[in-house]
Amino acid sequence: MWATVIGAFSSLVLVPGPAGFGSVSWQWATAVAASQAAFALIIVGVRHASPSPGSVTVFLALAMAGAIRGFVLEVGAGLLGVSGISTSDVVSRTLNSAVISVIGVALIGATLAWRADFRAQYRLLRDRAILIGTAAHEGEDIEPSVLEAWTAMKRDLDTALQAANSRLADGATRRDMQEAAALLTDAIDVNLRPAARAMWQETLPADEPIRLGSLFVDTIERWRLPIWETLGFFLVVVGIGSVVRSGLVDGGAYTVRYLIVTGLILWASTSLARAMPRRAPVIAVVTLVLLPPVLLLMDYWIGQVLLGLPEDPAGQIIVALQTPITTVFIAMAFEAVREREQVLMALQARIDDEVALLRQQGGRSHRDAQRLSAFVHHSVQSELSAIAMQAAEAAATNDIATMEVVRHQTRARLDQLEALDAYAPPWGGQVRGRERIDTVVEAWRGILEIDIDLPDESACRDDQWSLAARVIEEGLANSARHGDAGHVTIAGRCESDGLALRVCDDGAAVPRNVSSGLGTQWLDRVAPGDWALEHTSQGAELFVRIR
Amino acid sequence: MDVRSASTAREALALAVECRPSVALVDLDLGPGPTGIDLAHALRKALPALGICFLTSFRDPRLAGPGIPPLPIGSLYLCKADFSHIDNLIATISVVEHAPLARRAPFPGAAGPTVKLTDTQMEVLLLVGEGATTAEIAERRGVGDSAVEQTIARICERLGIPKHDVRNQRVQLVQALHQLRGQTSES
Repeated sequence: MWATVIGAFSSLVLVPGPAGFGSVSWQWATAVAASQAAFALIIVGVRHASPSPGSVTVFLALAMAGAIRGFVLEVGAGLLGVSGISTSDVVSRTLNSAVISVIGVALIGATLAWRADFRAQYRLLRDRAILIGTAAHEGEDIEPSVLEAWTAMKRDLDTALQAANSRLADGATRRDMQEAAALLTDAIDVNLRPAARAMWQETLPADEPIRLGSLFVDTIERWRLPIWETLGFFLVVVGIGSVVRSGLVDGGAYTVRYLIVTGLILWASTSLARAMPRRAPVIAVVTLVLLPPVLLLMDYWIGQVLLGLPEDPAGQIIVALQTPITTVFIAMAFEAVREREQVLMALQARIDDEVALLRQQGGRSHRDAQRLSAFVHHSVQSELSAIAMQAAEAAATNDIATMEVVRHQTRARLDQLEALDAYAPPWGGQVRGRERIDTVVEAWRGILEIDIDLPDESACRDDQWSLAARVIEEGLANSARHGDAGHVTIAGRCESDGLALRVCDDGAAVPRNVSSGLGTQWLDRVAPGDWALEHTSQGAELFVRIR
Repeated sequence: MDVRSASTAREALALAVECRPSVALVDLDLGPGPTGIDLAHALRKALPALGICFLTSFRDPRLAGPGIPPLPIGSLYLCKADFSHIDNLIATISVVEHAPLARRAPFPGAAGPTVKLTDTQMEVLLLVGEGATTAEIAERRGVGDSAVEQTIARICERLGIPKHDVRNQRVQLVQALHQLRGQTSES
C-alpha cells in the first residue's frame, strides 16, 4: 500500500507533467492512476496466491509489477495524447520503473522491519527494566508512583467491596444481587486493572511514535548526514536510471559526474555543520536550497561546456529536484534510527544501574516483581471475579432460597477479606522470614520437640531468612510426616558465604526416599550445590547454605 | 458429655494426656505449621485408642496443602456442608467412640468431585488458587509450561468446568476451589 501511495506521489509531484513542473493534466493523472492500480493489483494478486512468499518471489513480483507500471504509464500517457517532457520511451520507462519498485519497496520493507524490531527490543528491555526495577524498589523503598497507584486502588477497592457488602445486608432481591455483582466487576475493571497498568508502566522512556514533523526539525537542527550511505543510494538509483535512459557510456559518465558533485557538496555541508554545530540548521537549509541549481550548473559547465555531452534537460531537472528531497529523507531515516537507539540505550543503562543497585543490596530476586504481578492479576482478580460471578449466577436463578444462601456466603467472604486486609500490598503486610520461623516452630511444638539455635535477625538479610523459613517448614513437616521423628534440632550460623542451616531429626523408623521429590527439586533450584541430606541410624540431617 | 477445647497443637496434646478423651474433634486447617491430620497422628501416638473425627469445611483433606499424610485409621471426616443438624455430629462422634480403630471409609466425601483429582492435579489446583502463573507452577513443580496447561485442562475436565466464551477458566477454577473449601456456597 505504501509503495503505491509513494509511487503515485512521486509520479505526480516529483516527476514533471507534460507541460513542465506543476502542470498535472487530467490525462497524466489518469495514466499515473492506471499505472499505480496495475502495480497494486499485481502485488495484491501475488500476496493472495502466496501468503508467505520467499525473497526470490518477492523480488520477481516487484520487478514485474514495477515493469508493468512503467509500461502502463508510458503507453497510457501515449494513448491519452500526453507527450513531452515527462515521457520517455516505453523500454526505458518500463525498466526504470521495475528497478525503482524493487529498491523502493525493499526500503519500505526494511523500514517496517526495523520498526517492528525496535518495538520488540523496546518491549523486551522495558519488561526487563520493570522486573528489575520493581524488585529493587520492593519494600519501603518502593517507587512512590507505584505505591500511590496501589494505595488509591486499595482505597477504591475497599469502598467497592463495602458497598457490595452493604447492598446485600438486608435481604437479597434479584436487583441487589445484580448490583453487588456489578460493583465487584467494576472494582476489577475500574480499580484493579488501571492500578496494575500503572505499576507496570512506571516512569520508563515511552515508546512514542515517530512524528515526521519533529523528526524533520531534529534532522535539520543536527544535520548529521550519512555521506556514504546517501551516495550509495544515489549510485544505485541515479546510476540505473541514467544507464537505462541514456545508455551505458553516457549514463555512466553522468552518474560519476553527479556523484562527484553531489558528494563534494554534501561532504562540505556536513563538515561545516560538524565544525559549527550551532549553525547546522542554516547550513542544512542552504545546502538543500542550493543543491538543485548547483547540480544544474555543474551539469551544464562540466557536461555540456567541458565534455560536450548531449543535453538531457528532463533528466537533469528531475535529478536536481529529487536530490535534496531524497537527501532529507535519508537523513531523517538515519536520525530516526539514532533516536531509537538512544531510547534503547537509555533503557539498557537503566537496567545496568538497577542491576548494580541490586548487587549492592545483595541481589533481590526478580521473582519478587513477578509475585507482585501475579498477586494483582491472578489472586485478587480471580477471587473477586469468582465472588461476582457467583452473585450474578444467583441473581440469574431468581430463586429466593438460592439468592439468600449466596448472599450469606458472599457477605461472609467479603467480611473475611476486610478483616484479613487481604488485598494489602504484598510487600507491606508480609510476615518477615525470621518471624515466620518462630511462628512455624511454635505451631509444631507439642507434636515435635524442637531445639532451635539461630543467630539474631540482623545477622542475615530478610530474603535469607525467608528461604530459611521455607527450609525449616519443609524440614519439620517431613520429619513429622515421613520420618516419624519426635525430636528436631535446628541450628543456623552466619558464615562469610551465607547462612549455614542444619535441620536434624531422630526419625530413623521410616526409610525415606530422598532421591526425588518436589522438596529436593526445590532445593536444587534455590540452593544448587549448596545442600545435602544424609540418613543415618540416628535420623536425618539436612544441611543448606543460603547465600 | 465433657467437652474441652484447645487452640494450639501443644495445648491439644497436653490436654489429651491430661484428660484422656474418648474422641478428638479436630479441624483441618490450623494455620501455619501442622495440619489437623498431623495433630491427629500425634494424638493417636499419645493415645492409641483415641477416636478421631475431623470436622472441616474442606471437601477433601488434600485441600489443606501438598504432602498431607493419610488420615489415621478409624477416623471419620465430616464436611460441615454435609450435615444440617447437631444430632448428625453427635451420631458420628458416637460411631467413632464405639469403634475408634475400625477400618472404615474415612472420607465420606469420596463421592465428591475432588476424589477424581490425582494428588498432582490437586497440588496444581492449590497453586492456581494462590494466584501462581503457569510459568510459576511449572517452575515450582519442575515441569514444562505445556505440562501445567494440560494438567489444568484435565482438572477443569474432572471438575466439570467447561470452556466458556466469557468466563475465564482460571477464575472458574478459583471459584471451584473456594467452593471445595467451603468458602463460598456450591451452586
